[in-house]
Amino acid sequence: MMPTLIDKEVQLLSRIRNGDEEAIDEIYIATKVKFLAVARKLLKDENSLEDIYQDAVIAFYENVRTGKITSLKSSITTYIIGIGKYMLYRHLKNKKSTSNLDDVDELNIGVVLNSYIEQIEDKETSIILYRAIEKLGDPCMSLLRLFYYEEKENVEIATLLGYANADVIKSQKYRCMQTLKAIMKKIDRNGR
Amino acid sequence: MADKYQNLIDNYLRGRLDEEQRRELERLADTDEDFRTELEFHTQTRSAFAKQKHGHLKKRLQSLADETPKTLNPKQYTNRFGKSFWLVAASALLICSIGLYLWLLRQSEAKPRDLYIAYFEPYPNVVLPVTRDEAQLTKHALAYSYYEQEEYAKAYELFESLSQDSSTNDPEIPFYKAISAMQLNRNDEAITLFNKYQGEASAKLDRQAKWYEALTRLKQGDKVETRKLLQYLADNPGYKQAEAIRLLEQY
Repeated sequence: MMPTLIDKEVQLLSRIRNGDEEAIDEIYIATKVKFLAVARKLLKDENSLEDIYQDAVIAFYENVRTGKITSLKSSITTYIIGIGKYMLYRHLKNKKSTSNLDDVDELNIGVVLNSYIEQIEDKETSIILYRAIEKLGDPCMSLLRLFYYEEKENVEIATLLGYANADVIKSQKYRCMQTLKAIMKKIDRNGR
Repeated sequence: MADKYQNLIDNYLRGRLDEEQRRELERLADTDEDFRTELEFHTQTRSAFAKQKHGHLKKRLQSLADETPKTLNPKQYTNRFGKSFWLVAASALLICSIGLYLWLLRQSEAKPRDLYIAYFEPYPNVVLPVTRDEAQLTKHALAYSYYEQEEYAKAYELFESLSQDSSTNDPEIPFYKAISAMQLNRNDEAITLFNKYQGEASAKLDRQAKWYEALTRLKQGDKVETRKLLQYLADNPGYKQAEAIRLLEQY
């Protein structure tokens, strides 16, 4: 591989880690044709392919962002195709045809992916919670997102949101979680 | 919830429990129901935020999907028509294309207004998912809700008021306010807002802002600035690259 290509891939990883969402656009565009060339041999439904491809790119993005993928043993394209094939097999398996996952698991993608896939597919149990965070509003929404999603330290959150220090964040976070619980209760009551 | 528990749960979520803390967590999860409920609540909160982000990214990619060129499915080549059919079809298409091209050449240059109509569509709300069954939306959610319902005057007003409210931490407000302004024909203001937005380090929709600024300039008939912005989008891969290239050919 050309050194410039490697540099570009390293750069992309660091941009993802910094939360640069344009990086995901570039990866999406750069890999799509290659992914489809492989995936169309396994599945004909174009809409499902698009859907799976988007999920694969997002899973890659999320795994880099959260530090589950720190360096690449192969190119980003190979990685995403691997993730996509894994998801494709899951999709086919759910549609009751059995498949063998062994041949796509060379990069240990299954292990890397599991936590993320479980997270996003856990629809039933977290649906009320999901609706509740949408209603949360600021500053709680930002604070909890920075803590739970961005995984920032309390000191960093304090700086970003303009609070005096990390201790304030700790107590504010506690209050926000209480608010969240109250909203959930309300949604739950109204939903019945 | 005791402070100690909160620390334990926080460290668990960050994956930095040592052996002793891990045992303590397992013990509490086995024996203390309150602790177990709390642990689950925090874990699910983390998942809910991940899911929310997933939704945003998905929308972002869906808006990209519509414009990326679809490669031909290789299977489509083996079809019921023979090769000669395609040869004839291609020739007919070529003749039509030449005719159309010559006809277009004779037409005056495409009108900016028509191009604007052909290329403009409001950028989807990727900031705040809005659930319509909510009776009480926050002002923030309401702004995006109006935006989604194409009530741009109301959306503009709320974005305006939110941008003056320092407690709202949403760097994308100027972007959506600018698109609302475009829809209200406040073009100069939209351009100022797009520029302001692009100047901010936290701007996640930088290319998008360039694209919409180009469309605003197009609407105003500012050819030089429009082409400058489009050239940037055409030269760098990402959002609307294909459309920028196409629009440059037409304008």
